[in-house]
Amino acid sequence: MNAALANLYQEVILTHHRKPHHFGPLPDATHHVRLVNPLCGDEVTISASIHHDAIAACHFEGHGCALCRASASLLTVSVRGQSVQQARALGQTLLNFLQHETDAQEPEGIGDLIALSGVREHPSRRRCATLPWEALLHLLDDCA
Amino acid sequence: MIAAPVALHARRADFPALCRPVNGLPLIYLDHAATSQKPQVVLDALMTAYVERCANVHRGVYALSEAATRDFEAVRHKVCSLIDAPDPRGVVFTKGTTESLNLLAHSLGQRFVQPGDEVLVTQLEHHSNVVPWQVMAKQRGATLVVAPVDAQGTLSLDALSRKLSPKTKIIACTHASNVTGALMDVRSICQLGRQVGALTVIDGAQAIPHLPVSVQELGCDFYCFSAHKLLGPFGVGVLWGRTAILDTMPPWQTGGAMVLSVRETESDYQPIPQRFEAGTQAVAEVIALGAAIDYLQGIGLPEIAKQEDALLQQAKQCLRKVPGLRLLGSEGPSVPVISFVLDGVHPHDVATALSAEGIAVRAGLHCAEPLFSALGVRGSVRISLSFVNTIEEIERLCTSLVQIGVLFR
Repeated sequence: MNAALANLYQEVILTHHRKPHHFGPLPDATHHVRLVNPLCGDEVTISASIHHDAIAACHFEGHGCALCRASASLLTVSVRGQSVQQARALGQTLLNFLQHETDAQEPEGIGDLIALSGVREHPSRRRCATLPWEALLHLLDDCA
Repeated sequence: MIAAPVALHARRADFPALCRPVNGLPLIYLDHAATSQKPQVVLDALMTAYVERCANVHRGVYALSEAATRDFEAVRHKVCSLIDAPDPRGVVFTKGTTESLNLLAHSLGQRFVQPGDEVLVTQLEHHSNVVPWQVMAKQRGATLVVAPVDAQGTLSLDALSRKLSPKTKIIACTHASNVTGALMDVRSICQLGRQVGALTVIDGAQAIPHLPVSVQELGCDFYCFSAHKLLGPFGVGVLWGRTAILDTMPPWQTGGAMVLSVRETESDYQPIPQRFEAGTQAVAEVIALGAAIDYLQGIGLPEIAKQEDALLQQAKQCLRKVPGLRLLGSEGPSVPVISFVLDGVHPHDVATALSAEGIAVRAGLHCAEPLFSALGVRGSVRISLSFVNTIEEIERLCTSLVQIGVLFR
């Protein structure tokens, strides 16, 4: 695997793609949002169980590429236990980072999510990684 | 002694884009169905036309405009020779296949389609041969009927004829699928059309670069294609139609060049083909299309078809050996287009990973969503070949695919 590809499909990404966390329906979900990427037909549904402004659990379902699956899997791990406000701030920070060219400052404190940074050099694949996070922000908007 | 036929991939040297590296790697271009690369003679013709023939056609009485008009009109004759059409008045220049099909949907709809009538398309059409008919059928109060394919994406004549009725006014069908490459039995479809009095519109975008086409043998009423898939420039397409029908059709776009005389409240239109060529034409690009036709005919489309088909069969054999790879479509005559899925790996991941090796393929739904619902997959990887490709390139592809399977699973 050459360097450009290794940067896009980092081991963290491939691990989450092969064995995604929290994949499947969330029986006691209070919120759902489904988004589709018309370019490739990928779809992702984010479900969350939110009580007293805290995200107790978050799952995802759908069909997508390795980047989309890994991004969604990382999302469900990252926002679990966060407040709505924390999750929203994280989502906005990450989207802002991924959707811009390499001049954007690498955000601090995002842990494994930094593994998604490879999509910044692949404009045609950025949406694969951002789709779950866009769904999350829609979902959190419904909590306002 | 007869010399062995020259392997056409030696012609690769004619294509500057295929001789320059991409990301430091030699380009393995397997997306000819999206657009073909252009040989130097076509690029030269385009440049020369802008230098030596840069004038509006059918307008000026000065020498430059007359020369441009002469070269532009000569391409109508070249198109006739390419598709074995009897009359250059039946050749209309458009922006591309999409515009040709939109023109037909609009004009044929006005002329021939009444409320309650039916328009038939097949399930394996490119969106550009579906959406214009959807819109027209809605506007005219007609019904759009879809001839279904089987789970392999094959269209049987039975399935098509079951959808025909005396109400069918138009059949719009591709000559070759842009997903599986399957060639349709256009001749029989046109016969069926004639039996019910339906006009036949053939989308030739994927077929025309790969095999000799005779619109007279096919028996169709209209045939559309794009220059850019035929080694020619972007922005030019062809609509060929039977002159007896074109003569009776109302214009689509209107404005300058398509009128004989304009009064304050009404106008008289030009005869065909100018009636369908409103505004300034892509003069240099049409002239360059002529150079592309000369180039292809210089090689010979029968020889291209023969060598491309041999490469296609070799490529399929190679691909079948890749673990977890499944070819879509069925065995049968086809243009050199192959769709496949790689078990456990999303088509876009396959395409991105191949791109890192300098291999350009297409992934996704290929603007043919209705077909994918029949095939039962959510997308595919597509490779589309040309006579400039080699079996070594296919072997490189297959080696990469094996590695990609291991990486993602």
